[in-house]
Amino acid sequence: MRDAVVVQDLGKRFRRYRADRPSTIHETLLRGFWKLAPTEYFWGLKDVNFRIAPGRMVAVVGRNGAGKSTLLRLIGGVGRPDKGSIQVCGRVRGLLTLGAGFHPELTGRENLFVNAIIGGLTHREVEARLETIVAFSELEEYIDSPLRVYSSGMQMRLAFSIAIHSDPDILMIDEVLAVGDLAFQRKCLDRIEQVKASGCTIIVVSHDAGMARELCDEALWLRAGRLEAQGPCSGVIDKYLADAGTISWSHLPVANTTPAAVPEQHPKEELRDELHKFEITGVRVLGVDDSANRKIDSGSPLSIEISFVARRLIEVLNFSVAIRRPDGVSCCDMSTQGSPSTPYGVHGEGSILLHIERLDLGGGLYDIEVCAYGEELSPRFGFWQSASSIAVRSDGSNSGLWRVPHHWETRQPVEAPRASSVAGVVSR
Amino acid sequence: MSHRFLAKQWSLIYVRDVLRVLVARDFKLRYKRSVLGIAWSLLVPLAQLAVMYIVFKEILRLTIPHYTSFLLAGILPWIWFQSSLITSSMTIVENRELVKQVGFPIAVLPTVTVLSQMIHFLLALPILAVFLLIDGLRPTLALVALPLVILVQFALTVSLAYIVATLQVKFRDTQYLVGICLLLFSYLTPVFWDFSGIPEPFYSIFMLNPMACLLTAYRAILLHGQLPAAKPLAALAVLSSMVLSSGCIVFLRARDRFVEEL
Repeated sequence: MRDAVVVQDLGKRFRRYRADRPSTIHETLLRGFWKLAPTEYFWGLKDVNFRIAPGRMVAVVGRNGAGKSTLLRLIGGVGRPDKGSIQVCGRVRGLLTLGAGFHPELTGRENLFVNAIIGGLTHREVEARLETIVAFSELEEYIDSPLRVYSSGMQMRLAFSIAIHSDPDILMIDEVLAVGDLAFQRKCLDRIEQVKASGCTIIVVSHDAGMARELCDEALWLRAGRLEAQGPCSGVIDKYLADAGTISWSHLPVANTTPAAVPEQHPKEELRDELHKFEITGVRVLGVDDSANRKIDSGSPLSIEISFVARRLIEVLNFSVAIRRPDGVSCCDMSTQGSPSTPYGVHGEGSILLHIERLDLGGGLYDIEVCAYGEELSPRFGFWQSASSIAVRSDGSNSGLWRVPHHWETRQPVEAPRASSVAGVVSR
Repeated sequence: MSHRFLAKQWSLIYVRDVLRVLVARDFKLRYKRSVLGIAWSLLVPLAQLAVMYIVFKEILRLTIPHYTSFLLAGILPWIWFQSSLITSSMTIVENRELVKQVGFPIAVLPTVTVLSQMIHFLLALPILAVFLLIDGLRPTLALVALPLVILVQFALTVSLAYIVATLQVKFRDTQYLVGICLLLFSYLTPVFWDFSGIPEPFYSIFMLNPMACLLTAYRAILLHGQLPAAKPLAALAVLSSMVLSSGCIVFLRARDRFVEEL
């Protein structure tokens, strides 16, 4: 069977222009034509090679600006590669921008027709599917209202319904699924499963590693415009998450940084009059199996060491450590306040250790936020927003924010009793 | 560099459907919230007709026979030409969401604009027929040439529309320049005057203006009941197709960068 998408030696070059590049004929004549030329070129994508077999669902992962959206656009024929080739077999539909070419003054129904016909359906086909599309989007009441009264979630629902009902051979989704409410997201995912089962190739850009693992067969990892890895989903995403950790690391204080070097490198939010009084000089994560990647298995113990220097006597010194997801959701926030271990009368260099007995978090990347303060939360003596980060590894049987300690118990049917009628599978 | 999928998207049925749905969209948008609806498209040429008639017939006392019909036969094609170019300059920028849609054939956009302006022109033709009848002019067999003249004007306008639309993406003041140029150009075009009387070297120079050539052809058919002069029209057809192909090339070459520049 032919591959659905074949990308060979793909390169996309972007132009960077001077800030005062003229944008009108008037300015061009006044300032000179030479200012129209780009000042430099950079490769948004380079040397990208891959094939996608039909019927596969592929996740594209990578940090912001890695070229994910550019890649999807090029596959969709929006813009042209500067190097290499893309061969696509079949009809491509994409949900790449939220607006999706809708016009606010037209009704949902009129927009639906325009959008579906541009997407490759004939007028008659749209008429035949109209009911189904509207029903799926749950917009029956609003379909004859102008689109400007729709919320962005409603627009997304309409756009998604049209795209998914227009028999694409290849469907591309760029992050837009995040807009609908949870119930609709679930419905979309179910529908994606159906479409996939009917042989459609699906390419998604997602920052939700859990969703990608759950749905996709393969993953492509783009880093700075280059294809870093391609292969089975879990492996590639693990690599990506681990790497995302090391990238953060290079921006963050290294544990053994000399205190003097810290202030220039790491701007911190501190109160001016407290500036020289106290300083957090380092944050170290202990108990991770590899200090460069800082990977940790879910459920294992973890310690965080905060080194500090107090240049004057501080009566009461409290610390707090929060573990946050990359999107800012706080998973836990632990503080010394009210605990017997609150340091009193601190002066000079020292360190405090936080021991977490079990880190029962779901797989993914987490930021560690460290804060030092007095009796009250403010003023703060020191605050490191992403002092460190860890990549939590979780086995495939578990997804979600929290990895609850649990075990499964299977009960055999009573008709066929066995020697051991109860089997317990205990999850570590 | 190949993109098989684009070739597939360019099937004739697909392009026809896209053209139809986008022209319909243009119409819906234009008349969505106006009480007068389609009558608006007739109001503009009629108002222009009234003003010009008063100025040139009553005040300046031009002695062109059947002056109302003469004026309207010039005003209608000119408005089609003028509004096509002004609207098409905005077509890429205003439809940026469509341009970024996967699989959208961007090249249809200027054509859509010229087409919907042409429909306005065609809708106004019955009014012209009424004026012709009032002036006592009867249709002759020469009328069969009318679609041909319309076709040549369509080709000419589309080809210029491609160039204007391409320029607008790069230079955001193109639309104003186009407006100014059209205004100046309208005086060089016999919309409200007749240059059949001017001496020879100037006559030929004036006839190099494609719109002058077209208006003369319209009037020959409608007012004089004659077939239009074949030679200038044929030359114009050849010229239009040349401009059309080069306009298309310019547009298609710039097209891949529209996405980056929008």
